[in-house]
Amino acid sequence: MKLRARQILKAYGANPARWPRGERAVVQEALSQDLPTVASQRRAATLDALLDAAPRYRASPALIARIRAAAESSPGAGGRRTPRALSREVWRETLAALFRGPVMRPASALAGAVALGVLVGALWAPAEDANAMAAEFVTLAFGHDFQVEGANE
Amino acid sequence: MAVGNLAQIHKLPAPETDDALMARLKLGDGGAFAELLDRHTSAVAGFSYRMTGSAAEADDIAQETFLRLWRGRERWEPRAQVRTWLLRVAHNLCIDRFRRREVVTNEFPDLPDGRPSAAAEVQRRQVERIVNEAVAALPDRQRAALGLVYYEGLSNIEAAQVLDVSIDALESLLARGRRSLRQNLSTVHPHLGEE
Repeated sequence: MKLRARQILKAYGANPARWPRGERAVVQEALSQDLPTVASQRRAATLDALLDAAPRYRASPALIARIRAAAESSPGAGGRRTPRALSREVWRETLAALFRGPVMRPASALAGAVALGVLVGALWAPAEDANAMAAEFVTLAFGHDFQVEGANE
Repeated sequence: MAVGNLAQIHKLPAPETDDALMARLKLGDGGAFAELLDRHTSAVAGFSYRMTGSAAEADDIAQETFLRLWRGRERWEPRAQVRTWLLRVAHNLCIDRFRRREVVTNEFPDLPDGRPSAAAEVQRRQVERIVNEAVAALPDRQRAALGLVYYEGLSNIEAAQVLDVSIDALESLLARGRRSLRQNLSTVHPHLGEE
């Protein structure tokens, strides 16, 4: 018992709060009966006092705020992503970045306007001109060798 | 009046356990993360400072440790205590930095404490510096054991889990560390080295 008490003092120091919870009574009993154990506690207390002189570093509010900000701006999806999901996410982000960009925004708006114009023009054109328009479109697109059935009737 | 105050105190809800906060964090609750930060950042940063001797390194390690908790929150399994898990991650990050030799372990700059300067203050700071240097000179594992048990107040069971050693091995690290400190600090206190 005395030997174990001195081992605990040498490892954990003089403060009972640091001793193993289940063995505190053993050390207290040894201290009440054994002078060498008392001397061992006194030596441990001297070292403890010096160790307490070393300042303890504590987290500043700025550090806590920094970590919160970093967490909020991190992807933070948590779960492990499959390669396919990761690939989809990369594509989605790339396309989104492109269409958010200063170059692609006017280009995509122009393409949308052209498509809308073609659609409106086709819907409003007179029915009798439809075949001629189709022939002209095909000629423009594929050349004179390409014919549309019924276009020249 | 006093009875009324006591009644009010009794109505206060008990603080949430770390396990309950982790259950909320798994669902993406930022408030739970903030509460865990308030509870444990000082222990993680304090331990990292004791290991690295650098406040900037300690802050970086604390940030990385908590970001790992945040990013991995959906995979959290309540097998370990949160504090033990955090300190284990911080310890591993410290060891990684030692391996990359990015750290000088005996810097220990003076920390601001707001006390007035005087002759006694100068002497106190001298003792602080000597103690810090003696702790910094310990082998990594002895310094880690001392940092966890002495400075951060972990139980022997928790500290052994953080360092992934048996309790006997932890006690051996602590006893050897304290023996070295007694010898190295005998210049400050002449009777310290006596067994």
